[in-house]
Amino acid sequence: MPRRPLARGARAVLSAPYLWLAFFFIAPLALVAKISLSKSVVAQPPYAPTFDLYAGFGALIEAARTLSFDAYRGLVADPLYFESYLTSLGVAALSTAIAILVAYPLALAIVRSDRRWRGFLIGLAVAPFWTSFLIRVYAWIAILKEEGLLNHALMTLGLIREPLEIFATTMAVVIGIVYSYLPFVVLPIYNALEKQDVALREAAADLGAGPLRTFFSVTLPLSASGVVAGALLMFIPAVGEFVIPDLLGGSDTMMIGRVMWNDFFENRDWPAASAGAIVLLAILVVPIVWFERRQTRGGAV
Amino acid sequence: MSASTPILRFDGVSKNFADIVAVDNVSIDVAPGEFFALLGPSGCGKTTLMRIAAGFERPDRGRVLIGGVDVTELPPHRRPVNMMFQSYALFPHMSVFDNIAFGLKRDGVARTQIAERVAEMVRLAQLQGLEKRKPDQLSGGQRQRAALARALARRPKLLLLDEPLGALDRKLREETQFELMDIQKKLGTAFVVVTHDQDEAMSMADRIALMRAGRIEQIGAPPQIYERPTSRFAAEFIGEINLFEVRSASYANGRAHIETPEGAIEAACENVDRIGAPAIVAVRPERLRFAADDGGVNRLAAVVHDIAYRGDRRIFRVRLSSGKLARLSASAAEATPAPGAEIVVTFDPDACVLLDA
Repeated sequence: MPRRPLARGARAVLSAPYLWLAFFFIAPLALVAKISLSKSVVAQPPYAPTFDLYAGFGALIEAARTLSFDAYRGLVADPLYFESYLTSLGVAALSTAIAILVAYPLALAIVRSDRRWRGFLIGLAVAPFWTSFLIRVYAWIAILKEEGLLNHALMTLGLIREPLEIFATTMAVVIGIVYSYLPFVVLPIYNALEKQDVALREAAADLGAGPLRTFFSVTLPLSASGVVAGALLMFIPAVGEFVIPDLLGGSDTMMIGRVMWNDFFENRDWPAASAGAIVLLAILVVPIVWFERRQTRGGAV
Repeated sequence: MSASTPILRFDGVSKNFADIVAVDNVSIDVAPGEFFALLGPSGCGKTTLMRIAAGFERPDRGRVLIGGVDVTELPPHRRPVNMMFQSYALFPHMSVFDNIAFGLKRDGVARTQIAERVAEMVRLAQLQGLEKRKPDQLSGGQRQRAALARALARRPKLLLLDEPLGALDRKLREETQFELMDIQKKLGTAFVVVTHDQDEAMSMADRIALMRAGRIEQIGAPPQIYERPTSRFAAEFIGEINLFEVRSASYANGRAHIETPEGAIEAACENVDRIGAPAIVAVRPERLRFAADDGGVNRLAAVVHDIAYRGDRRIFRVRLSSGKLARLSASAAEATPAPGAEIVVTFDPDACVLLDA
């Protein structure tokens, strides 16, 4: 079928997402990239050079000449950045793994529940979004701190004698991240499970597979796309998470978001923070590309 | 298990869903190697009955025996029966080979043996060269055969088939009917087919259980059900039929003399107790014929209304004296009166079946 040229109106509508992408993603990204190539100075703004479009083309070229990779070199030289990247990736990976282990049974239970209850139960899973994220994270301080609800309850029950030291540790950060991102993992898994034809499980049972084998040979592999989608939806923002480690973590949990914040606001070293952000982006592109490839491959086969 | 032990027995099985009676006190025996059809309109309980046999539904009352063993309490994966699903339910993430091998792996069959058995099933279902394909790379007919191969791979003595031809187009359906019959004979497996399609049941099955509203309406071989229906529902559900209302009847010498609005009918009749109750006389269209002379009984005056050409046959609709339209099916070779012609239709007393109205 020959492709008809699109009407002007249709083209305008189709270009909307690209414009959105250009204004709110490409442009800011370009700014950050430019700042990452600049030098830190004590001035307003705290980096140089600045491009002055009114100073003429020659001045623009002159300014561009002074751009350098110094901020990136500084990043490599500073072990703090390397360590905090590792910590961030580790915390995000651990949190994502735990979230999947929690979310999968949850999603499965909702899918297997009575049809009339499903909508309500999914609503419950998403219900935390109705309250401010910040307030919910603060609430975890009240739960996890030394004289908090958790320790109080456990000691009252006589399960522990000394209060547990959870608050201001990596564990608290992991708990906070798992809690905050859980709905993002539950929903895609639920979606993948909900689409599965019940007859497939019946067929497996009919062919002699017990409940466990049916789960591992049919249910789980057929929901893998949901698991991967949920994992990425959680892992990527979790790596750059700033609020949760800042509120629940201690000084030993130095995540990359925190380090960049420090460079940006405390040290006023915008180029270093920007370089850190660009490197983080590069690191996170890897799993995204992997997922994209997996999706297209899965679609072709 | 002796030769006479039924491979499948429903013993007083009942099943309700909420306040809907799906299956109501059904007892059926299916013999080993038999091709058995559960036939009925949608919602008659035939699918529920099959799912009870497979173990996906638990009966509220009654027992299910497979090969003489009570399996009522056994979960599906412990029952010596396999099922071919209406949607085929092929595993989309597995190749044709892995789909067919699925049940064999669960049985702990050695790998070389699995490959052999799969190859055998592939040949049986004519899927050669498609072993590595995923289900979504198969045509409808290939998917149907893959589902059949998978269900037969464990060599069950009993195979349940839920509307096995339902998803195929008309032409393929007929071919596949014969394929199914061939495979069933070759393997000697008892087939229990659920279908709403009377032609399918009639042409494939050794015996048919006609179901209605959760109950068995009639069980018998296709000719028996077709020629000797025991109820008005059975008579009307399978094939075409002419029904004559009984106004009054008397009985003498093995013949019922019946007055109908269309005229007097003489029917061969063993069932004397029906005489007097509100009843109908049923006659198949192909038992009606144009009267050649003036003799004989069961002569009804009629006018030819219209003619439907069916290639090998013609279906005449004739208007009887009461105004009622009757159907007459004649082979193409017979003389054909034109529409509007005044004729007399006739039929033998033993073509009549006397049924409750």
